[in-house]
Amino acid sequence: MTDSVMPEPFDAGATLVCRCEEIRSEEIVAALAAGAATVNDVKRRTRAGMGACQGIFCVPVLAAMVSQATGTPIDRIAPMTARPPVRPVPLEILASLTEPGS
Amino acid sequence: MSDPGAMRIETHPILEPLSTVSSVTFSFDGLIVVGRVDEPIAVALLAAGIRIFRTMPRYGDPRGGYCMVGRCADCMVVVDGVPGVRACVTMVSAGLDVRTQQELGELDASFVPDRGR
Amino acid sequence: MSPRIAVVGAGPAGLAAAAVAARAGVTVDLFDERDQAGGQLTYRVQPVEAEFGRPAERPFELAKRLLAEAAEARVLPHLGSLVAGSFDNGQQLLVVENGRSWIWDGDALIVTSGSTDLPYPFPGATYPGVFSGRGLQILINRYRVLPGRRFAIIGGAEEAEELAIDIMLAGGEVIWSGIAPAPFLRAGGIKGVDVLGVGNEDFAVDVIAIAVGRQPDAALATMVGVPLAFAADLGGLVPVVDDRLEAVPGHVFVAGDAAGVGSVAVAIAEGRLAGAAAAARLGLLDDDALAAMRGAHPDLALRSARRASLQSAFVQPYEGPALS
Repeated sequence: MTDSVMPEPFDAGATLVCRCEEIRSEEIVAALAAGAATVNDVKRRTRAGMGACQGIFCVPVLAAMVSQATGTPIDRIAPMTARPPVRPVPLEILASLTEPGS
Repeated sequence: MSDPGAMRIETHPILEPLSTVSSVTFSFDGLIVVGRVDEPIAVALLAAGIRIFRTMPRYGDPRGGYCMVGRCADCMVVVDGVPGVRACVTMVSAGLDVRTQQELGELDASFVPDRGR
Repeated sequence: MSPRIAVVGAGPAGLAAAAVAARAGVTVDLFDERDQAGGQLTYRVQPVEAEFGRPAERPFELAKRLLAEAAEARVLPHLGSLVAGSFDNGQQLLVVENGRSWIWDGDALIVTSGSTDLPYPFPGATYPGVFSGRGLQILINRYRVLPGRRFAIIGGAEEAEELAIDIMLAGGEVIWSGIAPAPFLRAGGIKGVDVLGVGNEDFAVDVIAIAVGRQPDAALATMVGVPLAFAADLGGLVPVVDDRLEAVPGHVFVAGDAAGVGSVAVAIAEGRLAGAAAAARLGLLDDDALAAMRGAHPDLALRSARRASLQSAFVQPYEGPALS
């Protein structure tokens, strides 16, 4: 077990919430005010979570903000969808995909 | 450039003394930087007190290392003309031309590294 | 032709899982994106407990021991290999190494990919000189560089305490350490961090570490449909696995920090249990051996009960066919 500190909802104007895509707190707040109700909604509207870290360094904050804005308990907030690749990979490497078992 | 007082940890109460390995010389924005063989570029830069590796595309903010495991985008530099290189998971080698990545950086396909040192 | 499994993440949990499964006769491919196996044991210096009730060991020594066990069991190592995606109930993996990609095919997947730092945004948190807690620990202990002399640590729990001692052992000075709501914090400076503001006070520092805690990194399990549920005391969203650490029956297992942030001893015990459970599913280990593993550490049952108690679980729908 751990005593990690979960991030709190964060409304502080120009401070960045998504450091990879440089998305400010105020943009998240605006997306929520415009009707975003899930972490995936916020991601689609703002690009938060789409960057190099694939949400590692922002999704817990986004979840807390969605929880507060929608009045939904944090354990009912759906996670962001995880898609391959888990890290940025140059396309040319994927294009050279070799046969299975080789 | 402000000097954070960075240093290499030669002796340590628990860890073995820092082993002697070959040093590797490369350049960062024209400045000569000495690194240890098999260490990431970011480590050599931080040891030299260099903390700004890139500026970000949207707001121009400066960034340096953050996660040190290749997960975030903060340490991307331009190496031998190629941008988007994560300095924390890319090893130093002799004569590398490393530069601050300005925003998204531009691939310089005609770049020829000067390894004559 | 023996059954084949992949273990992703060669930290304490992965090394333990791989050794147990391989000893039972499974062909085990152990992957790690780093060039060196050992995970957190390669950058922690203060002694850690490896087995419940036994004296603490130096992480470096423990790593050597676990590596030797895995090597002796003939685990097949793939270091410097990133598993970029998982498909088809964990029976296919997309592997990227040395500038090329290939597909691994097998019978089961054990996810032991550990944990990552939790974020804690505040004004100036992205400024050069601000590191994640683990990032700073890696820089100091693995690479032996102090990026400055005066440190501030944001965080008030075990990670922050361990980091404070690591900094002092390395010759740095901890100027401020604690936790404050984000609006009360600000980092600033000229060409890099010079100051951390906390409320009305300013502290002159060269380096700031955000060490508020860790969260499981189980993306590879999520991708093949393992449900996630939220538990703050396990680090946030955790994979919902049963008491033999199995998520997708017979195919996907999760152990260690990836299944809930905890200690090294728990990671090793869960790793062994997952390796045994995978081998048992493949008919190579009997239930008595499996039962013995479940009792190896008291936290195993606690964690299992905790996961079972979580109400809301989210499953990501898998869209798309197998890779080939």
